[in-house]
This record gives sequence, C-alpha cells and structure tokens, in this order.
Amino acid sequence: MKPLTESEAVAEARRCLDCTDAPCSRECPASVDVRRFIAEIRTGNFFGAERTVRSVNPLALSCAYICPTERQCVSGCMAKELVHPIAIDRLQEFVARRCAWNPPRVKERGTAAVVGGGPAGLACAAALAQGGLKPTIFEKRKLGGVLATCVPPFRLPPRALQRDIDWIMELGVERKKAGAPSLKDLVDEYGLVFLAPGLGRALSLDIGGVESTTAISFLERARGEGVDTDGQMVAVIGGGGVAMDAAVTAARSGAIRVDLLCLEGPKELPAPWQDFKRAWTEGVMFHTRAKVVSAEGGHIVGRAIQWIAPGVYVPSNAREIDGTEIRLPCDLLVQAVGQALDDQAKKLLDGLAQEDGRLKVDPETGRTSNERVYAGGDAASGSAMTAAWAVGSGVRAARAMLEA
Amino acid sequence: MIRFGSVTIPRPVTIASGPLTDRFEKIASAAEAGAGAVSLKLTFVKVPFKSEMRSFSLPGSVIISPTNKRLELAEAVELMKRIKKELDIVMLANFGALGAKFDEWETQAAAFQDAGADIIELNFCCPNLATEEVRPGKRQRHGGASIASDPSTCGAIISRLRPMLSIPVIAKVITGDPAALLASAKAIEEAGADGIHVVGTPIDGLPPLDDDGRPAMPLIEGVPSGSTNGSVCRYSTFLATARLARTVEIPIMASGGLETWKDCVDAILWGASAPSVCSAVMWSGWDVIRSMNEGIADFMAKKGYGSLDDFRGLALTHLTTPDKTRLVEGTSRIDEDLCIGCGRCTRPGHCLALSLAETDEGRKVRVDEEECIGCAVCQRLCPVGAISYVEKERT
Repeated sequence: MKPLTESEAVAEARRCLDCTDAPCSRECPASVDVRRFIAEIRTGNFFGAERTVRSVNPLALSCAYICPTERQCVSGCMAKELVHPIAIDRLQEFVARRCAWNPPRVKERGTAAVVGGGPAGLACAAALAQGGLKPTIFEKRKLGGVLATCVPPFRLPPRALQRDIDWIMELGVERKKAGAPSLKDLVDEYGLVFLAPGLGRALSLDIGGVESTTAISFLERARGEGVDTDGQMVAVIGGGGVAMDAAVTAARSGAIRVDLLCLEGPKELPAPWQDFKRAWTEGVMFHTRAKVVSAEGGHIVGRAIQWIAPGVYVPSNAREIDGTEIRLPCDLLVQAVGQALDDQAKKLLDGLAQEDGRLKVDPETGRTSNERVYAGGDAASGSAMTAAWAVGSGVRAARAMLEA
Repeated sequence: MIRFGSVTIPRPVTIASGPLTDRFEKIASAAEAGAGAVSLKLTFVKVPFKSEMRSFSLPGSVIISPTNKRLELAEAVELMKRIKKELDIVMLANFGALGAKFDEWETQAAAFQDAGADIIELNFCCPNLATEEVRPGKRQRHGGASIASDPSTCGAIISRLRPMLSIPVIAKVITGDPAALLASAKAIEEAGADGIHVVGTPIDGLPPLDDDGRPAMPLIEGVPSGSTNGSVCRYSTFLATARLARTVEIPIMASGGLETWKDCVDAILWGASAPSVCSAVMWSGWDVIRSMNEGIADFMAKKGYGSLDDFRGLALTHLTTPDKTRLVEGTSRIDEDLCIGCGRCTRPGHCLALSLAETDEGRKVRVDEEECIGCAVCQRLCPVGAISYVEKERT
C-alpha cells in the first residue's frame, strides 16, 4: 500500500459524500466512526481523525493494511454509486501512522488478566488500560498473535504492527511471556479475565502419499527460518485468506507452479478480495469447486464437486461429481482447511458453558457463564474472523469488564 | 470564554441570524450541537414585505439568497421567551428598521430585553432591504447594509439604545465601502456598543443563467440582487476582521464563509473574538458545529493556548500595504520522489518556468529557476504535494 500524502488524503476525503447515518460507520466491526474520521481529514483536523480511529481501534494501522474493506466499511460506501468507493483503508493508514494522539491518563483502580496477545487480547488490554484496570497479557509466543507469526509481511509490514503494539503497551499494559495459569488462579489473582487464546490448532485432511503441511505452519516457517520451494510444484487446499497467503508465499519462494484447489466456487470464495487478487495476478492457478481426494506418485488427485444444499459451503455439503478427475503434479501439499482450539485453550475454557460445540458468550459483551470471565476473538466466535472483528470483541468486553 | 459586555459565550462557535434561526426546533438543534450562542432571525416591528428564502446554492462554494423570511416582533418575542425558558443557550436578538425610525429600534430593543435576550444585535447588514435599484446620483433606501456606510446613523441609533438597555448591544455591519465601514465602526464604538459583528461577504451578487437568460433560481420570477454568502467569502471576512481589529478595541464577532475549524481559528488570528457560522450548517448540518468546536480545541491544545485571547490578532503583525511589503526572491522546487509526472503544474498560461522532462524514473517536472517568478500558483495544483518554495541562492 503506497502511503497517501497529505494532499492525496484530503483530495480523497473530499470525494466522500458525508452520508447521514453513514453505512460505513455501521459496517465497521470495530465500531470506528468512519464517516467522522474522513470528515476530520477533509477539514484538516488530522489529529482529531487519529483520535476518532485510535480511541476505538488500538490496532488502527494494522487494520488499515489487512481489513477486507470490501466486506466491511467499503461495502456500505455510497460513493461507489458514482465512480469508486472511498479508499477508506488508505485514509486510515494516513491517520493511524501518525501516532500523535494519546488518550488521557486515568487512575488505576484494579487489575485484569488477558489470555492471548493477539488482536483481541491487545485491543481488550488497550481499552482496559484506558479505563483504569491494569491489564496483564499472558502470551508465550509473540504479541500480535497470528498477525506477527503467520500473516505475511507483504500483507502487513512488521513495522506497522509493531507501531500499534508499542502504542498499546505504552498505555501501561503488562506482559508475561508465559502460558496462562488455570482460570481459577487467574480470577483469584486478577479479579477479571478476558480469554482470547485463538484457534491455535491448524486442521488438515488425511491425504497420504505426498509431503503435506498445514498452511499455518508453512506461513510461520516462512516468517521464521524461511521456506524454500525452489523448483517445486506446490498445491494449496483452501479458499480463504490463509490459502491465498500460502499460495503467494510458495510462488514467491521459488515454486515453478502453484495450484490452488478449493471447494468454493469463484463467487463463493471467503478470501478477502485483495488477497485473492494478489494470488491471481502472481500466477497461482485456480481450481474452484474442486476437492482433493488422494495423492500418489508425485500427483494429487481431485474431483469436481457440486453443493447439495445451496449456499452452505462446508465439506459435508459437497458432493463429488462422477466421472470428473483432476490430476496435478505436486511435490508439496499445503493445507489451509481451517483452525480449531488447541489443547491449552480447551483446558482453559473447560468448565465454561458451551453451546453447539462453541463457547457460550453474550454477543454484546463476550461474558461467559462465569461472570468474572469474558472471551473474544476467534476462540469465542469458533471460526476465523477478521482482525477488526477481534478488536471489536476485545473492546466490547473491556467496556463491560470496566463496569463489572 | 468570550465576553461581549457582561455576557460570556461559553463555546467559540456561534450561529448567525438567518434561515438556521427562525424556528424553535432549529435553535434546539444548535444548542444540542454545542453552539456557544445563537442569533435569532432578523425581526421587524412590521415586516417591510412578506418573503421566504430563495437561493442559488453551490455547496461548499457560494450561496446567493435574494429573499428571506423575516419575523414580526410579536412572534419573535414569543419565540425568544420560549427559547430562554426551555433551552440553555446564549441568545442574541437581531432586528432592523429603516435608519431614522428610532422608535422602532427602541421598541424592539426593549421588547427583546424583556423577553430574556442576552445580547442585542442591531442589523446594519442585511443587503436585501434595498427596495430600489442602484442608480447613479440616487441615494439607496436606508436600511440594513446601507446603514453600515453611514457613521452618523450608526452612532445615533446606538447612542439612543445604549442608555436604555441593561444587556450588551452589538452592531452587525457588512463590508462595502471600506473607509465608510471603518468610520462607522469607530462611531459604533464611541457610542458605547459592546461589540461589533462584521459579515465579510461581498454583499451582493446575481446567479448564473440558463440558455435563455433565466436565472438559475427555482420558484421565483424576477430576481433581485442577492446576499452572496458561503465559503468563497471567507477571505473577505478575514480582511474585514483585520481592518476592524486595527480600528476598534471592542470585541469583534466575524462571519461570512467560515466553513471549518481552521476558518474559525484564522478569523480569530485576524482579530475576531468569536466566529459565527451559517452557510456551513445550511449545507452540512448541525454536526459541523461540534466538529468546528473540537477542531478549535485540538488546535489550542496543540499550541498550548488556554483561551482564545492567547492567539487573537496574532496575524495582524503580518498585515501591511503593497508599498511596505518585502518580496523574497524565490523559486519553486519539485520533490522528484513525490512527483508523479502528471504535468498539471506545467499548464498555467502565465508560467514559463515549469516543464515536463523524461527521466529514468519516468516523467518528472523540472523548474527553470531563472524563469520562476515565485507566484505560488503551482503548489496547490499538485495532487501529491510535491511542490515547495525556496529562496533563490544569491549569485
């Protein structure tokens, strides 16, 4: 993303229609008042614009880079009826990179524990600190969670994430580089607890006969010691953002061919548009409504599928079409087929009420069946959501915790 | 915050008398949006001719309004009473009469003071009160704006009202003949007014036309010249404010094209004590007031100002005359890292200094520093902010 200059930001903000009851503001999962921060840019009050965004979304700069805006704020933008919707992500980057605004200091009146230093945990901690409860984040890996360990740098520049993390930690957030003790111990020591352990277990299909890895682990290695797909044929399974990231990473790491197979059809892809577009323009070969069934002798074998019940894009609803076969050369199979709670998370959530196999939480506040315990992020929703959604869940929980 | 006589206005942005202030609901909205004060719609003992608002409006640019509703005294007084009873907002009463009709000025002043108005605002500004065409040798019918050009009438009206009122009285004047305006301002101050409100609009204009020469103003047949307002007036407002700030000591309220917090701050820097707005809210709604007040507060926090007085008039030191100004020999400079090579800055017909060149990094604009006269037109043509101005090196 090329950062906007001041002139460009003001020119773009001038295109904004300043809608009444603006849909963009209503669509933001983190409840940023989008219309208002754009109006503030338009009138040259950049400081006010930064305050409008960061006071509500402490991960403002990171979200500017990775939000699938076409599904969130931009989906409501009425300027799209004219020529183009407003480039809200570019405007948010413009204000969020300033880091000039700081919230007023408040007197500390208590403590809280936050399990998980990903976007939900960081956002909750930031909001708690601003409200007077000193938070301690338990995160044994990296602050930022998957944003730091997994999301490729070409999507989210590490220095942008670090800007947000530094800003949050400077609010007075403590951090313990360790796993969390038991829930009971946390409640006893801190009084209130926010759980956002994420979905740390990458799922995979049982397909033997080929070297196989999960996309999560592939992307983590890419960010760590690096991956080398030089000369390889790589096949990626999955239609979401993680699959796109893995496919692009494989392509950029030397693969001579990258195929992506997913159950979803072109109009059904869950991947954010800019991540699909990146994979497409970098030469990833797309095989949609396709299921990988086996592998042998340096090939993967798949079949075309059709959906049984319309609009339900889950594996159990996919029926293989007889007589179709896809054979692709494959040295490495990378699977981006979903995530679930890992064992530590399951242990932590044990004892809290569940519903339909998911943690039962109040949709407004994230409160669990234990009135001292709140939850947010992917672990609370049960499926991979956007970072902006995680931020919103963390901030909403913090507000409820501050009033508890 | 801001004082006019004994009355304090608690927040900087005030609402000017006009289409925004003729109904209770609108004034309630103004109060809710955080306006510091509101001036009630222009009132007469008896309205000279019945009217309603018509306009040619280009949002963000200009609004020409040749006709407007006025309130009659009885209804205006009832409205003022209701506002002062039900809302918490400082209220100005804005009224007018033909120059020499002192009894009408006095009647209204007394009635509004009794009704609870906080400040009296004498209308020496409405351009739409002339009922005769401007003709050489013919004196314009004396009302509204034409009073502001006549210092003796201004002084006489205030001298009569000042002793009979216990609340502050200010005069609202409009630009026209600058020398006459400043003479009137002095007369207004000498007569004991507690402040002066200057409207910086260039008074009058006519709208664009359709192919058949019919004015682009719907629902009206036959168009008088119209009070010309809106964003384009802000520069005229700055000048009128600065001239007054150098002429009188009494506080100045300034209006005319103030659209953003920055315009309000600039008006204060030029010497105003309070900004007043109208067209901005007519185009974009009451949220503008909140946004302006916040922007002013953010500016003050950034600069460490505790009150408007801390920066009022700071710009006056830079105001001079053409014979006394000093030109700095300079040239434009292009930041080639930012330049996208669109060439928009090379288009101006008066410029012989800028041209496009092919470089290894694509098209870039080059400056012939000998030819550059430092006119400063190119900078704001650039969409990416690549142009700056620097002093020329002395050879």
